[in-house]
Amino acid sequence: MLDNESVVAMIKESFKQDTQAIHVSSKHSPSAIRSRLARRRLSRGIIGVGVAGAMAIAIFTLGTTTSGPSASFKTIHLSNYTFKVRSDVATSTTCLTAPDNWVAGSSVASARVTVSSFLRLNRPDGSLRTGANGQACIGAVLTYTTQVPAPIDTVTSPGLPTVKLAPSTDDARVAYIALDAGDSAAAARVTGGPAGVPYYVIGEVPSDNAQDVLVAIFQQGDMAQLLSIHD
Amino acid sequence: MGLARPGPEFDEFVRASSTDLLRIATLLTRNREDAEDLLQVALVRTAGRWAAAKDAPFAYSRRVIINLSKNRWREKSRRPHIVGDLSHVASHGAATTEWVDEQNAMSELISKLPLGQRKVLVLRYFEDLSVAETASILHCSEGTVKSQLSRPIARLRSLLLAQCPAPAEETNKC
Repeated sequence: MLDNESVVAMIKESFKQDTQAIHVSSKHSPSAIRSRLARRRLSRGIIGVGVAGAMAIAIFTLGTTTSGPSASFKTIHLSNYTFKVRSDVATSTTCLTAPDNWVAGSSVASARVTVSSFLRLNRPDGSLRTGANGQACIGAVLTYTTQVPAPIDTVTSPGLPTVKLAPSTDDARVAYIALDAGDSAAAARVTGGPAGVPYYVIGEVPSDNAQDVLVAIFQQGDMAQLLSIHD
Repeated sequence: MGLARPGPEFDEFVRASSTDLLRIATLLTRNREDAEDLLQVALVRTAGRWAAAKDAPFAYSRRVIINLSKNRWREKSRRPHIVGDLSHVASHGAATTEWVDEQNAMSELISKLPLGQRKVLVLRYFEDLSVAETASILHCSEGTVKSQLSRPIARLRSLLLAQCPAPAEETNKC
């Protein structure tokens, strides 16, 4: 007699037999998971390639250029360091000042950027939020190096937004991408750097929360993963 | 994005729960490789959301596996056809050819069930969750769970009966 109870018993026995020899492999070790998590985080954030002898810090930010006071950006906390961000409307540049306790050659771990006043790039209706001058500022890359900065180029890639690198007084260089309303960026290849090694500025717009900004640290030999900037 | 790094408790969770989670994933995907991938994605997601998952990481990971198994199926655009590998039961103390055949047959029949029904079976009869708990995980009513249970059981019963010749016609096995 094959009643429902018998079928259930057979199902349970089948499940038991089908799984009793299953054990996890080493690729599910905690360290493997952490490694994969780190790679995933990097792939979802700004990706850059460190140049020879330098430590590159790639920071992806969202904000708008405004005609008012430089209040779009506040501060960025990285481990024990606090980077102050200022937006110079007159020159359309965004700069990050080095922290007071920064030591050349120091490194910081990936950390959440807490910027309370970031504006969301997208309005609820999906349109691109723009500043008073009609432009949105998207993306910033900062490179600290112990070497003498090399000349910085301005690069215009066909089909891509213009990327400008502007030196600051803090031995830091900032790249920003100015997008017109409705633009989307795929990638920006930036040349230059102490050794003339090209590096890339790639970003992915956080889906719904501009405060979820990823900071990634790249050193020489790191690989860049190309992602699309999309809104 | 929940970027807080999970602490040592995450490592302990992975070590303690991965096998059980992998078994669930295997029963859902009926494919060890897919299950491995599914588990890794689930663990990565759990780590990435550790702040939210740390109170009940197993339940969180299990829910991810349940949810992603459907996507995995869609990605493949076909139902998985690989039946669970039962070679390991060869050393079973009481194993006989008939016993292995029965287990193989049941495993194959279960693999042919729709994923939704298999989810319910796994949660109820492998995880031993209640109807209410199963409904909560699957985001459906308890009535839906009950119907999702009764259908595959009835189907499996009919399939098993179909595989077993009637006593009047034959005099063996079932």
